[in-house]
Amino acid sequence: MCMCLSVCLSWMYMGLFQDKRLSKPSDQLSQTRFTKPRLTLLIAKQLGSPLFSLTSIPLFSFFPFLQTPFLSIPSYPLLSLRDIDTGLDGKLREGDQEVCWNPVSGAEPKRNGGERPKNHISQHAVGATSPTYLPRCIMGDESGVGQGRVGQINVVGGGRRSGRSESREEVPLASTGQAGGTKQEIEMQVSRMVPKVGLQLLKQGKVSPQSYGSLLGMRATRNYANEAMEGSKSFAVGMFKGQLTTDQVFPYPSVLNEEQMQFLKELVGPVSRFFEEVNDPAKNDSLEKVEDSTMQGLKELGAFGLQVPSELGGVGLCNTQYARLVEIVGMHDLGVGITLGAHQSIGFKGILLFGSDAQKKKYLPKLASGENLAAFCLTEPSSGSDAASIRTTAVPSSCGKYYTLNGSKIWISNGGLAEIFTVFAKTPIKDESSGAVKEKITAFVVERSFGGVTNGPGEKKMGIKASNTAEVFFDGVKVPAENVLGEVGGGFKVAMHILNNGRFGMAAALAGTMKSIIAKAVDHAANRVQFGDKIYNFGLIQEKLARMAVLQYVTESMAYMVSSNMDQGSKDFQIEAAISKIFGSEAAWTVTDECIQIMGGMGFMKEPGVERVLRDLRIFRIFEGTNDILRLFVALQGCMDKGKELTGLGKALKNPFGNAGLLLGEAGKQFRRRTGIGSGLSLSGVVHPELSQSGKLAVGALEQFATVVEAKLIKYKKGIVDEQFLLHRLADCAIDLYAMVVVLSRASRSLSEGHSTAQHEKMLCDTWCIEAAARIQETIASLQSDPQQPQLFRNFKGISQAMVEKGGVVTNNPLGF
Amino acid sequence: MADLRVLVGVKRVIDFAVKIRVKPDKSGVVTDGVKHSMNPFCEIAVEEAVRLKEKKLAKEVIAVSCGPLQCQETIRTALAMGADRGIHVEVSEAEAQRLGPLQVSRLLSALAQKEKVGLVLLGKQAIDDDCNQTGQMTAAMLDWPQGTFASKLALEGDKLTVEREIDGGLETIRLKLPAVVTTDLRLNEPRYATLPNIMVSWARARPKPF
Repeated sequence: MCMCLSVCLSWMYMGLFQDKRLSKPSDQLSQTRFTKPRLTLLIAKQLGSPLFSLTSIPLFSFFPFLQTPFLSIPSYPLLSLRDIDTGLDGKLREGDQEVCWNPVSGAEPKRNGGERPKNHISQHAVGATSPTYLPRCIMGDESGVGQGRVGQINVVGGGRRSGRSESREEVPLASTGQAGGTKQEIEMQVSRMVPKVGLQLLKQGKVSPQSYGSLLGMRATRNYANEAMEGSKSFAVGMFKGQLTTDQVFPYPSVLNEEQMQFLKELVGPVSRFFEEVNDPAKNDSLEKVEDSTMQGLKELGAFGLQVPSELGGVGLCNTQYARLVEIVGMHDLGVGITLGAHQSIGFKGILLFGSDAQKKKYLPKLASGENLAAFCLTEPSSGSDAASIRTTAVPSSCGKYYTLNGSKIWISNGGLAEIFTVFAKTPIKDESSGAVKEKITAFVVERSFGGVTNGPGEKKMGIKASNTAEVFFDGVKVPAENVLGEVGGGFKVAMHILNNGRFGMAAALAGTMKSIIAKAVDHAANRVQFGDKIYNFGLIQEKLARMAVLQYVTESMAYMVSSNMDQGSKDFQIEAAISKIFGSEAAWTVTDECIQIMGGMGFMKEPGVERVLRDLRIFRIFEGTNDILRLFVALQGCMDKGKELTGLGKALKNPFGNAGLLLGEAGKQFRRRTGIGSGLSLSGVVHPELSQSGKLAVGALEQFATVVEAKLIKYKKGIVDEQFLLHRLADCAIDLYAMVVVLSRASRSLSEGHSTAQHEKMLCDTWCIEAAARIQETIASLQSDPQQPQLFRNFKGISQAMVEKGGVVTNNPLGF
Repeated sequence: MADLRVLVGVKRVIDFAVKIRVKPDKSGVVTDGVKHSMNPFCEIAVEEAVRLKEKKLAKEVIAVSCGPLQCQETIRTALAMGADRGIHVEVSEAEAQRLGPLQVSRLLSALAQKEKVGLVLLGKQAIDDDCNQTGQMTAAMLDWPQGTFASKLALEGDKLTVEREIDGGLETIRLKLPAVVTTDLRLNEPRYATLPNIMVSWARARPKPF
């Protein structure tokens, strides 16, 4: 948990703008057309008209509903969201997915591209979509083209086999909004086209009428888009597409085997005792450092090397075990938590994740024992959220044996204590093919003993005072070439992975914080007498306590969901991890704030120790990616995947014969969603029956959410990156939605395993789902159809601009002076 | 007497911080799903034994626990604190209910002879039943001298000086090994089992039949 207030998520985001500046649409288009296939926009009129003329029998007579204008494959023809590097080879390099989306880069799609050469189109039309897929697609995915997900309820029809009709009783009948009429004409065209394609297939005898009929209820199988993304088991990725991808979330994962569990149980005791009996958080806070004896004790305890493999002197914990222990740290002292986290969650995590064997052997043993502390150095004075703008440089020597590092980093946790630094700096990289030199970020392992590494005094801070935060200077530091972490020029990926891999720990720690804060609030509420009654008997207090419990339950469920997914080997958890960080930091703030409110004046005093926690917590919404930047990340990352799908669909439209199944599946999904019949998604079977009501709420919310995501993507296309008012709201919905599913999963497990707290968990889960669904519905409704929403956004913009011009509040005092 | 072997009794009890609940049928206290840990006085005994070993006054520290399977946790804790070896006398859950100081002292004395130990270090009492009898009975069974409620312990050759906490203050006695000593609260402050040591204890504690 670095003090670096910067985050690389933002790299992705800012990268968008960078590339925008760089890109020259027409040049790049021609340049990339053949070398690097990209899915460029499709233009309706160009490719559409000949297809439309192919069939003449209106299929509306068979499927009258298809005639409705709001059945639309969205207007892909106008879609210009672009796919980067996911083109026809359909491969995604590992690690790219967090950063690769860059819809603005490269060719500016031409809206009306009449002048585009014909052969360009055909280049794309002969796509990766092989006709040989066709029969398998159509026959209800028996072949498992869709990555053979077992037990997954995915897309329309819940993965059920063809020939079975949907059970309508399950489908919520709440009407979702209608499609806007702006693109109606094109939508009409497209919707007309889809059934025609189906008819062609019928004529060719490739599918039986029965299976055709079931197409609308089958799971769409996509063979067009990026496979890695397409095969994503991430629920969060799926929800943006209107899919219920339950692989990772149901049942609530339990990844520890009996022995790991037992081992962990035995670790919990000593760690808890240490924090109860030895560590004094109030003293650490007032000293503005972790007491020396405590520090020594922590080192002896082994707390500095929790995830270092045991053969290198660490405890060798998996993520879930680690989460359980940092939860204890979070319960007692966040200042110590930051000291430990800056060391192992980000400080040397890079060596664990990317280090060579030699680097690991050299550094990890001393880091694990706590003999050396580590720090993560990314943030600079001029580079916060926009981490790509770092100015620290590392210039390779002519002999190639070392790099010379120059620059300064601010707000580095452990900056004054650390011996080992993970430093990100720009290195000049020569492009082999073009010969041009570009600056790219590279990660280095830097020892203080290299010389030239100095630090400023510890910063005075609002909270987490016990942790050391300092400026670190690198002045002509000679770093051996073997200390490059990961690849030269790959520092971006290194930073992303480190931060992504650390977020669950923050959620776990904060779940612990909330637990101890709630205990204080409950203790006060249970004993304080006012108006002749214990105050917990008053509704106002009850509501506060209940909400606090719900927030803690959600955060805890998320933290262990994400850690378990990571332990299961998932590579696709970055949206979830970001959500857990956002949710945890905000929930902990709310809970602690409410605890103080319940305690009244007592809470404001130093003695109970709650004000310290509130101060400590504030930074969690800022560092390791401000929650605002992370919200953009969540929304954009989700939209990216959805955008790829849309792009892929657009591509499929070019070759509708090869993609009929896909298009029809899509049409069916669209239809269901837009008409409000529901997409046939259901959580029944995975959610415990007692929670079915909440399950329906979640599914309903997901459908509404996906509808609005799609509509907005179609409306804004790549321009969605600039719609921050919108993205913020989408991210809020995504967070609520993921939270719903996570608690549904956990409460379901508790109910089916008969845990003693199962009924209580049911209440927590239902409470969360009811409120979250209502929030989502409200947000979506206003995004979809509230005419005042754009006005609101314009007002925000106008008011804030005026304020900046005026240098503060614009209005005068009502007294006039 | 550098080849001294020390036998330390470690009892698994409900953790001191747990709020004890009585079973609805009043037959005892609820133990299911309740956190258990090593009896604090036994921890002091382990700590003292390990210190003797660290001062090279003892060669081996053997931790022994009598009870159900979960007692192995307690033994592992002792190993993580520095004991060399553990012995688990497996007693079924039901029978363990009826295991009292007399039975345990019989077991301990038998083990003491079998393992040829020179010193038996026990907690003065367990925090669950508060019997305060096992040490005394064990000494009687073995017919060894005893030093109970030790708040200080010094070993020279086969002479053991024990400072005892008694009602009127402190009493110092001298024993000749082999002997039985029970520990009082102020004898030492037991160390924490560190995580790496717990790990090592896991690697070592592969039970084999006795």
